[in-house]
Amino acid sequence: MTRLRQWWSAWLTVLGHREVGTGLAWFRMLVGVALLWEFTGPLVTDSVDLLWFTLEDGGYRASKGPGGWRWRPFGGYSPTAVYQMLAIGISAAIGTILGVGGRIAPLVGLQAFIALTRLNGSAGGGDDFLLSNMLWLLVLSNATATGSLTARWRTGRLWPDVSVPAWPRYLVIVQLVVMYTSTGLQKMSHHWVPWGDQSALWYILLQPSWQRWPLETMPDWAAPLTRAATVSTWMWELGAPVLLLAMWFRATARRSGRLRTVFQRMRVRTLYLAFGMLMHVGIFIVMDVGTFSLVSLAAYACAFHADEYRSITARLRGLATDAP
Amino acid sequence: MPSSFRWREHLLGLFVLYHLGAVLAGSVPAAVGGLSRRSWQNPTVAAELDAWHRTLRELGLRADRDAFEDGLYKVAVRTVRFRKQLTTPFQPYYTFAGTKQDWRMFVAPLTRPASLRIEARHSSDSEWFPLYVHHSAEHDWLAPQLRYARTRPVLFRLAWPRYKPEYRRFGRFLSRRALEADASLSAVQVVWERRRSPTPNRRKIQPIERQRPLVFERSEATE
Repeated sequence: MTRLRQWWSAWLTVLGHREVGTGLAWFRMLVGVALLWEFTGPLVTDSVDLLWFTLEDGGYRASKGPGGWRWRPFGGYSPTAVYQMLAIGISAAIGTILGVGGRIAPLVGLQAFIALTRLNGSAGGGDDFLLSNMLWLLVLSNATATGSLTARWRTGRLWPDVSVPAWPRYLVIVQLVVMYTSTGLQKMSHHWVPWGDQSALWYILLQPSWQRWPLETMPDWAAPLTRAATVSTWMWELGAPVLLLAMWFRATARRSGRLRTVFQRMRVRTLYLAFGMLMHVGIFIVMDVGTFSLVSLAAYACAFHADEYRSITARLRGLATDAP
Repeated sequence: MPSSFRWREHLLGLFVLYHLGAVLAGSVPAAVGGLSRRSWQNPTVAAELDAWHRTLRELGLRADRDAFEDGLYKVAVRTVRFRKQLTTPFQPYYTFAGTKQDWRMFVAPLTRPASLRIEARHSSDSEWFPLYVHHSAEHDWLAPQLRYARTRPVLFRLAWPRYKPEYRRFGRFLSRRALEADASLSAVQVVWERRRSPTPNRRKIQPIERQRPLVFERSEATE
C-alpha cells in the first residue's frame, strides 16, 4: 500500500512539472498548418463532392443517416452542411496557428475534422488518426501561453516565458513512440523483416497509388539502397521506445548509470530524431500520403525542452551579431 | 480526509492514466479488417503466407501450408477478439477525442498494384478512348481530384475485391461526371489495370493486365 502511495505520489510529481511552453507552441503552429491544409485541399482540388457527398447529392458514398451528433447543429448531413463544416474547420485551423481561442480552436478543428473524415472511411488513413490524436493533445495542453497572439495581447510579448504543465508535451512524445512501435510491429511482411527479402520500400515506391511522380521501375543502384532503407526503417520504428529512454536519461542527467552515460555521449535522442527527420522528408519528397510527414515532424518540436530552444535562439542571435 | 487533499491533481493523474491506457490498448497489433478468408487468397497475401510458412518450416514447423493458414486464421481471430475486449472501455473516448490508434501503415507492399483507367466512347460501335490514365499528362480528365492525397486511399482500397459495391458506386459517380461534361459521349467504362512490379533483381517492366471493366451506358449512369 505504501509502495502504491509512493508510486502515485511520484506520478503526480511528474504531472506537476512545469516549463516554458516553447515546444508546445511550435507543435501547435505546425499541427494548425496541417489542419488548414486538410480543410483547404478538397476545396482547392474541387474534390468535396467526390469525397463526402452521397450518391443522391452527386457524390459516390452510400446514404447513411444524418452523420452523427456533430452534424446535428446543421440539421444533419447535407452538401451545404459539408461546406459549413469546412468553413468552421478553416477558421479553427487559423485560430490554432495564430494561437487565438485557447483550447477551443483545436477542439473545434478536431471535431470538424472527425465529422468530415468519418463521412467516408475509405478516403483517409493513418495520417488522419495521427492528426486527430495530436489535435486532442493540443486541446489538453496550454499551447497558446507563448508564441501566440494571445500571449502578445496578455503580456505585450510574442514569446513570454510563461510556464505551463509539461505533461502534454510528454504525451506527444509517447504518442509518437506508440505510433512508430505499433506500425513497426505490424510490418511483419517478409518484404520488411531483415530475414526476408528486404524489398518492402522497393515495392512501395513502385505503387502508383502513393507515388508523387510516375515511376515504373528503378535503376540498379536503387536496389541496395532500398534494401538498407527497408531494414533501417523497420528497426528504427521498432526501436522507438529508445527515444523515450533517451529523453528520460536526458531529463535525469545528474543521476548516475552506465547506460545513461552511454546514451548522453552517443546523443541517442538527436540521432533518433535525425533519422526520423530524414525519413519523413524522404517520404514527403517521393510519396503523397497527405499530411503524415508534417504532423509527425510537428511532434518532434516536443522532443526539446524550453531551455534548448532558448540556447538555439541565443546561438542564432550570436551568429547574426557576429556577421559582418 | 486531510484538508491538503488536492482533487484536481488526483483527477488529472487518473485521467492521464486513462488516456495512456486508451493509447496503449488501441495500439495492440491485430488483423482488424483482415479476417476475410477471401482476401487471404489475394496473390499478395498468399505470397506472404507462403514466405512465412517456408521460414517457419526451416525453424521446425511441421504443419503443411493449409494447416498453417488455418492455425494463423485462428490466432488472428483470437487477437482481434482480445483487442476488442481491451479497447471496449475506451470506445467513447476514441470516438469523441479522435484518439483511435490504427497504425497499420504499409504493412505489406503490393507486388501487383492496380491503377485506375477511365475510358469513354461516342456510340456503341465506336472505339473506347482514354479519359484518365493514372499519372498520364495526356489523359488527365478529373486528375486534380483523382490525384489528390485524400482520393489516393480511395483508389488504393477500391481495387480490393471486398470493396466491390463501393467501387461500383464510384464508377457510377465517375461516369455520370464524364457524361454530364460531354453530351457527345454514349458510355463510360472504368477499369483496373494491374502490373506486376519489377523485382529488385529483375527490373524488366511487365505487361499490363486489364481487369473486367465496369461499363455505364448514358441511360444507366445518369438516371
